[in-house]
Amino acid sequence: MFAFWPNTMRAHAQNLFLSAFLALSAAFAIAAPTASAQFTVKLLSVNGAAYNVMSLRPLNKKECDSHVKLSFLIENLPGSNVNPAYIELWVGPSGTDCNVATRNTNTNGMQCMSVASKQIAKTDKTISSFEVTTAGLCGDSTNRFEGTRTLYFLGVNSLDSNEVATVFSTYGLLIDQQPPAAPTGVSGGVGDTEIPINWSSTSSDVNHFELVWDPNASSAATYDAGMSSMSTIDASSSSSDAAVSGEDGGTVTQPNGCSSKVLMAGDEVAADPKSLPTELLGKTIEGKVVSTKVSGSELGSKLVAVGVVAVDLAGNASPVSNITCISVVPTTGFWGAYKDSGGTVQPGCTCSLPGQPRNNPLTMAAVWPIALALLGLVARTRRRRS
Amino acid sequence: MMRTMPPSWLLVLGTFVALAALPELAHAQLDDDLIPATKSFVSPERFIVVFRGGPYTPNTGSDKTFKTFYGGDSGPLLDLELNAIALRVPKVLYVNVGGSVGMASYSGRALGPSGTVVSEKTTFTINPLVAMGSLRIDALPRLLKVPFIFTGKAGWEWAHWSTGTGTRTDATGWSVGPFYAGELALDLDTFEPAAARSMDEEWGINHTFIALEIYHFAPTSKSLPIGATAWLVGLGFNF
Repeated sequence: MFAFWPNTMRAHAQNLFLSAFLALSAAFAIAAPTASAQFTVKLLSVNGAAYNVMSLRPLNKKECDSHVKLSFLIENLPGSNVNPAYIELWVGPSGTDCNVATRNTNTNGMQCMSVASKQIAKTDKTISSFEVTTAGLCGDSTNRFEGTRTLYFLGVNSLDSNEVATVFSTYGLLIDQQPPAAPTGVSGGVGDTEIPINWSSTSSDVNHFELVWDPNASSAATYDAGMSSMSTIDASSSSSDAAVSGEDGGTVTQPNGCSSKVLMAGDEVAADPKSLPTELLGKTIEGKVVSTKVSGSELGSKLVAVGVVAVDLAGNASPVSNITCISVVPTTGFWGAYKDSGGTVQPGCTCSLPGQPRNNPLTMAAVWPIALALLGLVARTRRRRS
Repeated sequence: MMRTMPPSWLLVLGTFVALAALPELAHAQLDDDLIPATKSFVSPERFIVVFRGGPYTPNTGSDKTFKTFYGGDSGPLLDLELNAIALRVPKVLYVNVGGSVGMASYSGRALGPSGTVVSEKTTFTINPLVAMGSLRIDALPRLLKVPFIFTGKAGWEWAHWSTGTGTRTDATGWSVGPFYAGELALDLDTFEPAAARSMDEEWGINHTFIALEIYHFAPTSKSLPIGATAWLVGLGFNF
């Protein structure tokens, strides 16, 4: 095809053509599906809730233990009367290739086992709901699986037989059953509408924190100015520690005086505030921040026992941290004290507006952008003498 | 009899001079083509802007409440001032009209029922707005190369204030009153005239200066007493 070109140009063109051909061939070889992977598998939902694969959220310990239902979508089956009779789901120990026919049978030391199956029609190209529970996928209580579990979806013509070699697919299921460590050093303040709560966490496996409190803490403590640094029960303390010596009949009296029957250090609580028992309240603190502020109205009581729980991406919740008490008291700021001391702003002057409390105060935040915009406009529109 | 040069010698000399001059002539003509006609690089001068800040502690007179809650908190006050040049006597003075906006905030601990300090915070915010006229004398740096500029300012200030405790807004209002200021500026053009010329050519900035201002705000008796005598330091530009 390059015969009519000059020699030099023809040589270059031939080299270029050859290179392009080789590159395209290599790219096609990489991108093309393997001949034996005949269908695709997607995890659609976990326990009925849509699963967002982009979040890469692993299954958590609770989901593993409660054998929740996983629903997979299977697409691109061969169809057209060449389908196998069943799709089976096989799993094996970590590193075991359950795709090899000799390991798919129960005669091979049970290295792999079938955990679910579904009969399909010869013409099926899609299975909208291949359901399986987490039983058998997460290990057991003595040997919990952590990491990526490879699920082998195999096409077979009779149950537990060797797979039809060209009809299979795999799916990597993320499993994280290890909860993060409990936060420590939780301390709370005293106030009314904005009460600070601080804690610390050394665990890197944290997605967010959850604030948990008992609004019915009893034995109202007398607060003092030093309450923000109150000593508290350490979650890692043993029952013999002095900090928990007040435990009596399921009630722990905190060092600062309040006590709770339903919230104690080391307790396991739900990772979702909505799933807490009715006697507890909770609030999600997004991110890895280790401080927050709460209002008295939000806490719902004048005295609350507060703990913090760390939650990882999978949704595993740590044990409850140490418990601290927060007192909600009326506070006086500058304005209240100024008025109490006889200070006033006299009304009636046309050039001086009195300081009246308002729920929707005039914000001056807009003044700065306006000033800078005017300055920019001036600088832009001014003309330099040429 | 006057001696005349031989014609051949004259011819050689003339040729040499002509040859020597030719490159210069050609070069001169080339430069003339490339270099634009001489012109003034002094851009119009219409505004003066100053970015500045400094400690600001309201003087509440005999009432010690502010000091009780915000003692030791000096703001700071951050401020932007923009003046339009109403009159310019070249190399002597300016008469300006303009204004400024600022911001200062203070934070302290609130008190509980028995007067003890609690962890909740009470805040106080001031946003001063000033309308002013000013007289600016820059004869020293322009005529004598002494880098000091003196400015006197007078105007009226509307200081919007807001105070709250926790998430609660306790009160807001305005304190108004006269405003006076004196500014001593260090003219940077005097030290780096070449850089000053370059900034004018590139950015249209005529002059650059560091300003130190002492000012006084005296709210009326009916206003919340948040006036003060304070100092601000900043960087300013004429453009």
